[in-house]
Amino acid sequence: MQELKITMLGARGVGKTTLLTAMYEQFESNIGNTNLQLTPDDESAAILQDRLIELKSLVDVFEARGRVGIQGTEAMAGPESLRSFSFGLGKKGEAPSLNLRFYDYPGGYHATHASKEEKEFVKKILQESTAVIIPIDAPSLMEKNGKFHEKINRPQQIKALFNAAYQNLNSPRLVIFAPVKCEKYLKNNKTAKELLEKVKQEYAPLLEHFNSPSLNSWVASVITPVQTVGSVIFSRMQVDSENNPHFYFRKTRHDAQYSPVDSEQPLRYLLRFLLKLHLDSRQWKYFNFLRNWLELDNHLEKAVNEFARGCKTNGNFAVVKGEKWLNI
Amino acid sequence: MAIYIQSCGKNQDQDYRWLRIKSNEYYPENPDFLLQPIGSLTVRPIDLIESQKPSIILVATQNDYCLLVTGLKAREERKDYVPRLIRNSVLWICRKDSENLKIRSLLIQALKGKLDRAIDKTINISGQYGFEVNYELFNKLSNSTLAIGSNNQIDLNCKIGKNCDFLREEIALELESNALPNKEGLLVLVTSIKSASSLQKTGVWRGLSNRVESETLEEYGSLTITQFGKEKKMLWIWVAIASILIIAIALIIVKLITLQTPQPETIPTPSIIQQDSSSTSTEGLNPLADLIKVKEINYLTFSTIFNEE
Repeated sequence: MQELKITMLGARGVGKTTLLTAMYEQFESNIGNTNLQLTPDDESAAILQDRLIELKSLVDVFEARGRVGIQGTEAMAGPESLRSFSFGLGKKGEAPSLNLRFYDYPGGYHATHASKEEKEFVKKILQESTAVIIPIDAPSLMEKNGKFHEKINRPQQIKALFNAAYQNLNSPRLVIFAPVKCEKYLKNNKTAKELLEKVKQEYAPLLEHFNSPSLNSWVASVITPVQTVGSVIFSRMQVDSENNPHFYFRKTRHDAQYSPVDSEQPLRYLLRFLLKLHLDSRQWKYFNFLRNWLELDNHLEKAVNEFARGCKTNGNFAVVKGEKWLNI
Repeated sequence: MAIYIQSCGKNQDQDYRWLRIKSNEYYPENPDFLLQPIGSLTVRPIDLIESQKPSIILVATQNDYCLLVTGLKAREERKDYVPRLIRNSVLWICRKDSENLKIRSLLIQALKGKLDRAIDKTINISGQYGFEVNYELFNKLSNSTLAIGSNNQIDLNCKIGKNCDFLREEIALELESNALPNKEGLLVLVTSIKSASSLQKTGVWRGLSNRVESETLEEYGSLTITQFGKEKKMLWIWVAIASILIIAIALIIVKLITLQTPQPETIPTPSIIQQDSSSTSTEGLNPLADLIKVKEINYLTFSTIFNEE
């Protein structure tokens, strides 16, 4: 079975694992309306289910503890031991015909202390991934005029990683910017627009890099805000003696439950991108199999098309680059 | 005794990492044990567990016991910057002969959930990695032994069950009065991710998993014929079969060569014809019948040899 890699990219604590867990939670409920089926392998399901329970229980005890993220990710014995999460994609009731493998690595691989091996791993996984999902800690980006954005989200480091990894590209790639913990900013159109503009502004150097002649024709990029918890909103920020920001959140209602919003959007955009690659007649080193994958089964193509057309394009969402790779 | 501890600090740059602890010095080092296949299995320790969840692995090698305990909770005070709870993991590698009691005591404490606080007490929030180990305290913990028996009447049957308090306690009780089985390989596994069939494939002596339903320990084999033993036995059977086949083929070739060697031609004299004609009237005159006879003899010889084999 052919496999596509997708990597979560971001510094420690920005929300990579929380986003992946929220995506997993909504895979079934959203994809379930179509003729598609996305099935995790047994061990991926066991791990993600545990994380989902943790995320849901955090909402229950939220007021007492004020935590917003599930446990940090570790690679038990370096990059070689990193666990990935595998999902089989196919038509309902049939064996999967395409495997989507998500990589979630420790954010510390970007850190100053990171070993050469760890840094090389991130570069390699970026090179091999069809799509990259960059969670962005929205309060760091938005509060105090983005004073802590650089410290928390590390946009310069992210750009440097793409500089190193995206060289001599010869196949299209999808880069998804996903602001998370953004419930507060999506309450009205004004702040939602501000969030969108702030992402474009703060990641402008990276987007400009994608516009360089050698990358311009290969990179598609979208902004898809995800409310990973749904029922908590940012309330205040404190800065400690070491200049570390601490963000505090509150529940929207005392009895509010875990209810993420739009966490399936990154997957919809990913499938839209894959469908476009399939429909395109050109030849690419990595993705030629996509043509065969869907050609074999018109029903599957129809189901992917139906799911992909659910991509939101209203004020909160934007295709910022490479629209041609997403037009179906 | 070799000691490794994994934890993290508060700051964003102080992510999870292993430190090797040697007297009062420590340095970052990933333990080789985690990536090495266990005994004759292809599976590695890291493949058996989701290390972020409370998990236990005890492996016996020729000379050492390796005890890995992961997902130990740190005190509330030790949150990272998000803030999220922090976990500790520990790996002890002990000499089998001299440190048997120590490893069994630690294993019993791990099974009873008594290591979380004890380990965390030895870790301070300081240093370039955001955590440092108080070697004296840690050493004291590692070297303290429980008052436990050492009967050698341990039940060698391999058992698996659900990862629950009751069964972890049951295994701990068993180990309080009995020595560990004197076998190499995976002895104890407590995990959140393995199915019953996956546990059985490892040949583990005592295996618990969140994905096993049974709330009683269920027997599935014995350490006397563990998976490792089974594999070895199967290997010997195949070697024996292959040897017999090679001998048989060699014999056939030898016989065929013998058949193709020109035999001194016997010209039947009237007396011979007369003797043979007493049994059959035509065989003696038929060279093909002679050949069949030779083949029958060869077959009998071959059958005898084969049966002896």
